[in-house]
Amino acid sequence: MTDKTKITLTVNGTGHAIDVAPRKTLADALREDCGLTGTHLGCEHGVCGACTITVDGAPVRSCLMFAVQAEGADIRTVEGLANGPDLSPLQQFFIEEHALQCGFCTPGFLMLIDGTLKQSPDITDDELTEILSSNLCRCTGYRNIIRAARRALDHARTTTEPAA
Amino acid sequence: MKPAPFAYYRPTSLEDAAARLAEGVDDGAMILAGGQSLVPMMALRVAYPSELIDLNVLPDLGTPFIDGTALVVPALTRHASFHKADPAFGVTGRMMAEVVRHIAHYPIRQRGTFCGSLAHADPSSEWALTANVLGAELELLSTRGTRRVPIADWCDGAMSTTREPDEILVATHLPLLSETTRTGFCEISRRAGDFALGMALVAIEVQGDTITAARVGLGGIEDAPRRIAEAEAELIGQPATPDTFAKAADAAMAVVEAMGDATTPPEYRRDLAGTVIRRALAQAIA
Amino acid sequence: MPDTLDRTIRFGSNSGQPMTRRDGIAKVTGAATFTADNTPDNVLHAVYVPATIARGRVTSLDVAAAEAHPGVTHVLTPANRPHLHGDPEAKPTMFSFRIEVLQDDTVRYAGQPVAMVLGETLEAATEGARLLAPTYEMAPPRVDLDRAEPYDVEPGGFGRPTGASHGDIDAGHRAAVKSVDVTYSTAPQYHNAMETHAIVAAWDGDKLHLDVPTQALSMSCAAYASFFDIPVENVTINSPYLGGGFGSKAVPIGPNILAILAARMTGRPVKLMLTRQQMFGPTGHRGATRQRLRLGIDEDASLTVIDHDSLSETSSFDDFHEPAAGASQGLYAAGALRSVHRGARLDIGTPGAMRAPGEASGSAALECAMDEMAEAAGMDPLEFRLKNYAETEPGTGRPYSSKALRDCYLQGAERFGWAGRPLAPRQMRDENGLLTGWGMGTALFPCPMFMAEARATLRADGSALFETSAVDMGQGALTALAQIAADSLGLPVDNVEFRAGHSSLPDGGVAGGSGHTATAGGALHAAGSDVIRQLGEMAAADPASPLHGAGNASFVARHGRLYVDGDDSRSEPFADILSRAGGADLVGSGSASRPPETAAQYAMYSHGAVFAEVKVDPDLCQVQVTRLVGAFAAGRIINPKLADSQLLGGLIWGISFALHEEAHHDPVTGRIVNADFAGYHVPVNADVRGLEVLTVHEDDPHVNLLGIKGVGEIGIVGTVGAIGNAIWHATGHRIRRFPIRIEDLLKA
Repeated sequence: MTDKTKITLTVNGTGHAIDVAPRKTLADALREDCGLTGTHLGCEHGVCGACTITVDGAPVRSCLMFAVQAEGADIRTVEGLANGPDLSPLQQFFIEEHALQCGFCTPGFLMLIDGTLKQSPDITDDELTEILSSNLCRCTGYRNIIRAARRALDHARTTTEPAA
Repeated sequence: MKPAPFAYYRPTSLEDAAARLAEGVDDGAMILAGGQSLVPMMALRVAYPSELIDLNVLPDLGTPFIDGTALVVPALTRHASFHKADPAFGVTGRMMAEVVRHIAHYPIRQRGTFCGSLAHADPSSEWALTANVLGAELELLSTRGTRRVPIADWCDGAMSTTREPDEILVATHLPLLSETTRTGFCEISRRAGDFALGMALVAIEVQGDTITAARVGLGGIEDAPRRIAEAEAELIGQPATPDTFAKAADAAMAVVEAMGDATTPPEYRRDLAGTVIRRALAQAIA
Repeated sequence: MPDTLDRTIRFGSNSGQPMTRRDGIAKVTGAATFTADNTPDNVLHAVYVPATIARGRVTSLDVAAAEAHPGVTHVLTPANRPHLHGDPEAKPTMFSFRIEVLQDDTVRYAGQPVAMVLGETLEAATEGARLLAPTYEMAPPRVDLDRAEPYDVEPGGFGRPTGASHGDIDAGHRAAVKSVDVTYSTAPQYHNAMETHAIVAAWDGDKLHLDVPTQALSMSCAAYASFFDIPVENVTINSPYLGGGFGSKAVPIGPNILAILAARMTGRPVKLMLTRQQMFGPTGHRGATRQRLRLGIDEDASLTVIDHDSLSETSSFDDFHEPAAGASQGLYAAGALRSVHRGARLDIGTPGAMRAPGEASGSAALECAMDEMAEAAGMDPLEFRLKNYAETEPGTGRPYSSKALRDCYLQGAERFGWAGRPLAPRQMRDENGLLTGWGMGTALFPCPMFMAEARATLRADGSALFETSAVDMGQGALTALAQIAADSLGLPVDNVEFRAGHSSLPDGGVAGGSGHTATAGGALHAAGSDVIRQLGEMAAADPASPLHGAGNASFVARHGRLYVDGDDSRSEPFADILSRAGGADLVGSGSASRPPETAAQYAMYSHGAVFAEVKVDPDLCQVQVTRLVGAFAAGRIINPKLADSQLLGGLIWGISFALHEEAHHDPVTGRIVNADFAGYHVPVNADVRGLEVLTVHEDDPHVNLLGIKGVGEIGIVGTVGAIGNAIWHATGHRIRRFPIRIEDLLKA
């Protein structure tokens, strides 16, 4: 049916009981129903990456998933990157390297990099650049975004616990 | 930019999905797999299904596996599953790990599926090209039973396949390459991550200096990917040299019916076909 | 106000430091709120229907179908649209554009609003808009600039550029022993800030509150007030963050007026957010040009003439002509200079200012033509430019307020490794066999100042509050302006609170023209100086102060203390002076603009030199920009971290202009066929490698009090030409059409 259904989204570890129609994208549900507006909409057809979040650890476009599909998944957004007042190293590197200007694309880039490094901390610098090409920045701060991401990659390489 | 209203159905099994599809297809019900092509089309109002039957809720459709001499890719295998070559898949796995890096962007590859790509049938689908080079068989399920379609009979034009509207592409069977096969892939796009202007995937066997078997596939050039027999004929029995590769490329350029678009004339795609074939072959023997 | 910096005021404690952005934490945590993040209670969502033809009229709208859709509350069409006080066809101010607000059923370009639907949800309004299913009576669209009838642009301010002619043009042509006569094309480009345009409008009686991203808060308030016939003070705009502007968010667009009208009509807040596709219509764009350049040199390789004729597209109903030919004024020492602007009317939205309007397009053509002239002269392109270096402004003979362009050339060339570049094209290949070429271009951008006001409040605890309605659209105004403000009081920046982005604050002017830091910064500095002046008067008159009696001396503020200038033994903390006076806040105000006499006396420009390396695949003609070095002289750099980022962004826009951006019109409907991010290409990370920016030291005692010239736009300016010239150097082919496409190189 096309009517609204009740679902619970688990975002940054917190459950949000919401009432959504099937056609509501995950991005819209996060912004409108969960009140998490850090996830931005830049194109709504999967090209710009501003709405990138992680779902079960994988960086995905939240405009290309429906909210009803995300029930039960571990959803992470930019609002969940920091630990209280403590910024994550990636967030800190973005500030220090000036990897943001207007800041509209920033949450998408952060989640893209966060998800990538958690999934594949062993990627090469070239692969990282290719992955960073998934998202658009118009200002454009690409050089500094790459610098911040490389620092985060180095950080991930040096701090990842060896597999047990 | 909001999709039209639709109903959402969580099937309990593939058979249940097929039954639901049979019931609703005339009204516009569709299968939802990765959704990375379908959802943007819905946002752009190019597609407006009455109902989406979401395969994502079904278990055990995500992991590819070996069945005899074939690699079986079930309906929900994401592109990202091939990022790291599974040693069990041998040369075929390594080739697919090279190809997959060229598919869209990393976040899209986390959701998009192999079978979805074949069902969507974009002329520049890397997986459709791969399926052609490997000689895939596609397994389709409907309430009428299952059937298998050879890849050569799959696409009947750009974005169009011989799938019946009530059929679900439940798996693709990819015959494994022999372990002595050498492969090469070359893709050209205007900008990193864009749809390809053209690509070639080759698989050859070389004994001594002589090419003993050859498959040459082209994608993004014509309205559907395919193997180019004329190019393959120029290779077999010949030395694996740049001269031979150039002859194969010329043979392909002579027969392809290249597409044009607003910014890319067909002549360019034809020239590009030759270049990607030469480069893919050079990569295969490197 | 003196036009030179008062040297007794210490600068540099904060200014000049590469401080990180003050809004950094808000932007990496998702706490920064953009307009579309606001959803007030009881809001109605608005969606407008864009015309799908470019010329004709709407013959029907299925209003009944839309109204019948659940959740749709209202449908606005020309038949029922409420009265609007302001005339959308009038141009009451210099910066006004004619807009479409459902005044009638005519369609003048594709993407123009032809109806608006309001709904309880965005989904309902979207569906309602689709159900309206307009039908049209269509006339053949005129969307091809090369087939349009040119006319002479009548000068008249913004969008109607004045031509210029200095010296004897015909004599300049006759005196030439070698000449080039070439025509370059540039494509229509759309700003496409990552944040699409959006507005949330709410009425409270005859008071209007808007959340809307705007580059010009005060000007926007006035415009909205005039449309709705309310006093300007009844309009408040909240615009704390812009997700990019680039010129497109400076003037009210038709859809915004409709949303406000809808809010008044319904008595409910109305929210409108444009889709990416809608960003290719009523939001302005960089108009296409066809630029003919005729250059001549004498036997000594000195330019005898630069004759620059620019044809630019505008809409069928309004004028914005890309001031491209203006780029030839002010740069090279030619004996005769002429800039001519002609226009042609097309069935398109009215173009507007887009990052480096005029200079970006004009210099693309000029710098390539200069390269062709250097080639004809048999000279190195850099040597040729140095040969024709202008020591005073060509044509007018005015001195430059400062000009470190020679240093830019030399330092940029050194860093790039320009020396040893082969003169002839197609001489270099890299280790992979790719054709390699080096090219260069000069960058020039004017340094306008607008008008701004600011308020400074020194608090009893020695901290300060600065306020001005400045705008941070990404460039870093919240940070750089706070640095200037802190310096004006000699305080550490962390002791300064800075409020901006709201119309209730003193008028911060316009974030545009690369003049915001100079203008708003000047006002903040003046406000701080006003506080110091008052503080000095208080201390000098207070027998208890160590500064007592120093009334005729000047004062210096440092580290929260007031000093007698030149006498470090006499000083007192701000807090002590205030405390004895009763502990009340001390409020100062200031304003900044450029004195007309200074403006007349000096030619004022930022300068730069850009060096590009490209690699071209010999088989496929694919072009990669592998290195870009830009050296810029732009006066005082307030924050090198921010400034470098602006300049780097400009370089990437140059790559985008040279190789990617172009809107394509369907000749039958007139629609833009690539009106989304899949079809309209801007660079991604992998397209951008090897970028380097240097800023060359430059003291400018005249440009404004603080010596600031601005860096927001100049990065694009030399870059497009440098890339075009490098492609020639790599391949031997002159491509005179931007963006340079693979097929152009194949055909060459």
